[in-house]
Amino acid sequence: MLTTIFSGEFLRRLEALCIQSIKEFRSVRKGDRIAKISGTSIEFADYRQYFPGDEIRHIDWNIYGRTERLYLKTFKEDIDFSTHVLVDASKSMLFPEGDGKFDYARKLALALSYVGLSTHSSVKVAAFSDLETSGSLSDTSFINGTPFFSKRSGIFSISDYLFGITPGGGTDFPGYLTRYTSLTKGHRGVFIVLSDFLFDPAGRKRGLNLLRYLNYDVKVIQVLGPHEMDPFRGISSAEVVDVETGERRLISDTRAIRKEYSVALEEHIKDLREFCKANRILYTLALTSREFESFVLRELPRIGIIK
Amino acid sequence: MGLLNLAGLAYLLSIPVLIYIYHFSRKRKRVEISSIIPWKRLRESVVRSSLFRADILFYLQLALLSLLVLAACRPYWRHASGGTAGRHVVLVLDRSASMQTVEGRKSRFELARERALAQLRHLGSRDRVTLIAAGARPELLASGEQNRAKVEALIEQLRPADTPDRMAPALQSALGLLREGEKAKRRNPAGGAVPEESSEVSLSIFTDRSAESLGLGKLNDWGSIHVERVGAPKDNTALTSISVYKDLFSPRQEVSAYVTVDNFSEKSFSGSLSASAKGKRIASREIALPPGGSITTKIGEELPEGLLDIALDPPDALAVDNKGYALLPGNRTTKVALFTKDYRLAAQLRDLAKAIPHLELDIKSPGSYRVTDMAPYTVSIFHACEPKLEPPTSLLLICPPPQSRIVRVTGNCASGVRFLDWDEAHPVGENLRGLQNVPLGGSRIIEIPSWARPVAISATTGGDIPLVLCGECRGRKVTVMSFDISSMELTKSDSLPILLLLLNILKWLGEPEQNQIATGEAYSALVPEAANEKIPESGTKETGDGFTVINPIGQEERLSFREGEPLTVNATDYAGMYLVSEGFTQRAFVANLSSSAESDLREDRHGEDRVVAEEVVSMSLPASPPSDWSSMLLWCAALLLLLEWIVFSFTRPQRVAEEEERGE
Repeated sequence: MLTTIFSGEFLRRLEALCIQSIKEFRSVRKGDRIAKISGTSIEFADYRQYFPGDEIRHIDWNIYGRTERLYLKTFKEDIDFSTHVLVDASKSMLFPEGDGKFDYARKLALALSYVGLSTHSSVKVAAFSDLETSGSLSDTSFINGTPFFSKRSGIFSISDYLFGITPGGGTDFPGYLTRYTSLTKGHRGVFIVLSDFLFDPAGRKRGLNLLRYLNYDVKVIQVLGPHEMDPFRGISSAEVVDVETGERRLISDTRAIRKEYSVALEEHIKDLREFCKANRILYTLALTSREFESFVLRELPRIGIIK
Repeated sequence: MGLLNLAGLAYLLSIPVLIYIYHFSRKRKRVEISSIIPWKRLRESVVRSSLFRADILFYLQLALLSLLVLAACRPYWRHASGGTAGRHVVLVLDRSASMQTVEGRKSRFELARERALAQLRHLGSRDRVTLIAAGARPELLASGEQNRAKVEALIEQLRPADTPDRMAPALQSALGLLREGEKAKRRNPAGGAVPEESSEVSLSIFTDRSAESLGLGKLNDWGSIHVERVGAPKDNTALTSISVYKDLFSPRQEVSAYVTVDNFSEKSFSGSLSASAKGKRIASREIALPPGGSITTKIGEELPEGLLDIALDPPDALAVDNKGYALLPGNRTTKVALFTKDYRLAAQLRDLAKAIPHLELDIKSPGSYRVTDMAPYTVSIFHACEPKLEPPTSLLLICPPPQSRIVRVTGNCASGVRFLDWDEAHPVGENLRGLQNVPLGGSRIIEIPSWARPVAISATTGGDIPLVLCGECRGRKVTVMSFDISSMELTKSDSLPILLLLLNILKWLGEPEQNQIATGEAYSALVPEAANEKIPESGTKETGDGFTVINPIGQEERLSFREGEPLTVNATDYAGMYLVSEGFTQRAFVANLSSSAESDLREDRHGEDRVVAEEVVSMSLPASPPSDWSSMLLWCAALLLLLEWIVFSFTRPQRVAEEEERGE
């Protein structure tokens, strides 16, 4: 299944990468990552002066023999942090038709999960929409997401989960995050949100702020399609309908309208980008027209989501 | 540019239909989008303005429709050659009595005046106006006037007269102008500057009559003639005739006034007829008339001398025909002076005068004639003689002398003269049955002078010779009998026709001047030429002082006249009494509307007052009617249709591709 989605070469290159976090997390479970904080791993970190109360067994006697001063030898800590990958599964991810925003997003989620699992990080993937809150979804497992996987084999479950989702409903971003974070207490770590973010700007800010307050290392990938950026291709005069809210509007393709729309969308994107920049949230725009592997292997490392 | 068919503008409604089709009926795709948020940020004004998208086909169709609408309107250039001359607008304003008819709060004339002023306000600065007031006579008030304010002032000053309308002469004048304009246009069909006289001429007639009754028929829809009709049919009752009768030869000389009242309505009339003299009502009687009925009734028994006001009550829409005026003569004696040497004639006429009341006859010898003594007389009879200086009286010459200055005697006819024919229409020729049987014996052969006409003639082997001539010569009535009646015994039955002829002559010569006319008619009175003046070469000479006329509305007018010619008053536009002062002599006459045609407000009057239809047709169906561009526009429309088809053919593949791309 996975090889039908990604090539073997691509998977091998993913294995050489890991999810990057700009925050330090203390965890009950040791992981494969070396934290900057001193710990109990075998990897040497530094020397420091001995102070009363320090473990005597960490004193480096060789140095004492040469200098007659007591120095402690410190080692780096092996840590483990959770990686949360959250995919927008609202109906808007299916539109404009042909853009393949949701496909692109779940492939990104799968790739990032694979990167996480390759470094034995615990990875959880979930999808959000307001189907549950609106009562139109009976299968709540879709909303709850996958369990935390830390072994590479978990990728298959994640793949099944992601490719089993049928997007629908609207978006209740802050509401969903409130419930999600309450369920995953104690699994601090990196929180990657994959969405088109074409919903209420105030709502997305509330959601992202919630993650910040809970000390997640939040990373935002906004997925948009080429038709989203230029919706007038093939439209001369049309009635546009919001697939989530049902709101509609008559429009015509004129130079003035094109210009106005372009400015409006740019402002919407800019608003999110500026918010992320101001709050130390990594942000990138993923256009579905861009070649997928190139985006994962070049763009994501470039901005620091993975390394 | 003008439009011959303004109704064609109604087709402009097709343009909104085209826009509707483009705006609402256009197939709109329903596009599902991920979020309305960016779309919500679009400004409403930009969205609205962009919803109606017109492509080149729309503009071509719009142009096509506009061309078709314009073609339906039949446009034409007012100035075909683009010259600088303005239009020449001829306004004919009916100011006849019927225009006084009240329509609501305004009279028909006021309505017509408002419409004329409204048309005037729409004229350009280079347009010229000719204003003709059509009353009893056409009055040219302004001719080719460019000063619009002046014409407006003239129209404002106009008021309706009490006269019947005589539209035909006014229309003839106006049509003459129209014809001249048309001729000039034909001379200069296109190109070059247009001289002033060749500018387009249009005629507007403001009247209460229909175009048909004016003789214009259906031609009023032709571009250059426009009949603006005011008023609606109305019921009316009117005094249509007032006659005063007085028998000069009756012993009492009673005066009778006969009044005719016509009911021009479909309803019965019930009212009263009253007569007043010097402000006092002297007679009154009730009148009842069936619909369309008429009655002639005698009013009053012993009517006094002077002005008689007759009024019909109750008042109706047209007031002027509810009043009438009559001047009643007093009793008088006709004094006749006979100059003759023949005692038999003198004796016969003396006996005759004794038998006729109020006739006094003075018999004098011709030698005793003094012109200064003749003032008291009404008629002077000269038998076989003639005065050197003509008396200021009516004159009867019986068998004038061969050297007569009044008539030219060319010879004598000794015998066999009989009456052959006489003019029964002349007052002198009335009731002369059997005159042809009276043997006359001899007769003078008289050359008919220019001022006289033969009332009775005889045929001889030498041709017709006049036996009785009547006319007006140098301000007096003159009758010439070319035969001698002295040898006849007038009291015998054989000579009875001659006696009647003589009485007719005396009556005609002695009857007072006419003092009652219809409004609009000319009044004329004879003013005998002063006897001591020599007759000028031209026959007449203008008097220095002239005479003064005061009309019923108090306007005074000074007029001149020539001695020897009748004193004439033409301006008799208002009903009532006119005072004419000439030196120490004062005359009066009255004018009444008395026109059935004018008072009948029920429907169109198809009287004789019409312009000659043939003339109008020949003039107003021009060989070169205004050339409208409708045919040219239709050709343009056809070309545009072809162009549209070509554009459609070229753009179709692109459209199909676009539609396929959109999945429509």
